[in-house]
Amino acid sequence: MARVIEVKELTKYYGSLLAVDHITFHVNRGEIFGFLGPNGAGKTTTVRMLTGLTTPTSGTAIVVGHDVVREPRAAKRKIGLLPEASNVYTELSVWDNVMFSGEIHGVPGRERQRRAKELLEMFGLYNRRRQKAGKLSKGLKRRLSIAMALIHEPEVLFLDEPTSGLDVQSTRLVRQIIRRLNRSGTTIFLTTHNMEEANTLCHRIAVINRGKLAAVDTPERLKAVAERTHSVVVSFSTRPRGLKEKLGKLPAVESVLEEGDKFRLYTRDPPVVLESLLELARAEGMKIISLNTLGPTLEDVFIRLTGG
Amino acid sequence: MAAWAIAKKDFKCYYARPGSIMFGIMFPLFMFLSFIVGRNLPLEEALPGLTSMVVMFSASSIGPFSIPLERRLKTFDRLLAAPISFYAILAGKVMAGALYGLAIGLVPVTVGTLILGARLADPTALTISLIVSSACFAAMGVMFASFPTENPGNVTIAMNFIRLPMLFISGVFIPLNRIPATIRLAALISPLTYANDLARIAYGVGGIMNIALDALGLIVFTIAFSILGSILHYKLREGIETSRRRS
Repeated sequence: MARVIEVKELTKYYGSLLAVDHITFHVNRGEIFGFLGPNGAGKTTTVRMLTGLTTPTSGTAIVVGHDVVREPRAAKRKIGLLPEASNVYTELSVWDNVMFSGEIHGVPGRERQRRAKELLEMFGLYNRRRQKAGKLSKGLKRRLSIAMALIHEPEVLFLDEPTSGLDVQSTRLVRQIIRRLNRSGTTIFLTTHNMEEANTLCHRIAVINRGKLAAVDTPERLKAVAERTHSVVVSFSTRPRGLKEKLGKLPAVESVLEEGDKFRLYTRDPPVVLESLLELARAEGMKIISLNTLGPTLEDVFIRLTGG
Repeated sequence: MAAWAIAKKDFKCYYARPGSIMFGIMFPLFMFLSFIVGRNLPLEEALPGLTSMVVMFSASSIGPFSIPLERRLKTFDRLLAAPISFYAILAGKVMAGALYGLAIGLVPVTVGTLILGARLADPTALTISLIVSSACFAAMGVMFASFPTENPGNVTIAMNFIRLPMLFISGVFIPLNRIPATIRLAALISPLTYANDLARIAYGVGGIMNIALDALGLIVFTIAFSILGSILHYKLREGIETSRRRS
């Protein structure tokens, strides 16, 4: 499979602060590649280096065949960037924003108009094309930002926390757009701290923490890393004193987490825990209101890998 | 092309705003009144200083405001992420500032000559003065905007430390041939001196140099500000990234 991004030993220092520490990975053409990590892990710094916004301290990054340090303009022609903040020009109309983006990306006049119309229609913004971008809601600004990033038909689209701060409806729409773009052949590099987003959207995920890569794999294979972290979630009709401690002492229970009116019991052996839970409920005269066994989530993997 | 696109965008975003337009009308008007009212000064003596001062303040005002603001709103990243050279970005900013300076500079010229009847001795000198000094002061403003900050106020304060003393050493208030020789030497390092001298030639009240020398002086300053500005913007970018990361 052709590689569109190839990163080797990429490192970034801000003064004495090590933001990204010798990371190596690649992204295949046509992939949705997730870059997952907590705040301050180095996700945005990595995107800034790959898109030529900041210069790496050391290491190399080849994007669509071009070194981002030696041939930044050639690399930039092939990529689109949606930064974390929707950086639209609030004083310009929706139409002018897209046209300006096309102009600075060297899209010729007629082609620019055709693409702008097509994109604004695709994102449901064409009827608002004369409206000032500053008047748009956060979700619509996000859509406009994506349209601006796509005007020159980039091969790779970098999305930095694309759904951060959006309402449920806008989040859903942005995710649909990402899938649609990917189906039409655009490679997507997506940073997120949202496990669910990474799980449902990405073909492969890199987990970054404190500037270092903790793992790179498919969501399912990453989950297998945490295969032992099954859990049983239970809630009872009553909560006698010391219940949490009693649950913690049950056979095969490794740890107990209180989650609202429920308890989550981490275990390697869910059937043993289920039996002992029933016994405990009988002994204490409690009714079990709900009982669920859960496999490892990407969040478990993330916590395991990042030491969170 | 990219530079022109940026200049057009800046015009729509910053220069065509009501505040900027009001500034463009009110600033020369009040300056005009403060120059003329209560002073027994021929119009031709007052107009050169007034015109060059208005061009300096207007051409160098919005660039230093827009760049830190764009850094804060992250729209500057949009320019940096585009496949254009860094020089094209700065050239676009300079172009917008120069056009604004030129337009505002035409206000005292128009009022002075067409309405109040001041005699224009050398229109060529005035044209050169307006065009080249607009570009020069716009480049000066963009150079100051390299100051690694996301707060426009920080740049404006720093700029005024330079712009205000320039008014007193460049022959704007008192013609250069009437000021002490030491200050006259200092005047040579101020681009406003050359702009003002050209305007004085234009209005026929006598400059201390000639058109070619004044124009050359302004061109040299424009090139120097542009080169220095590009270097500073490029070098200090990392400082902005670092402070952003630490905050």
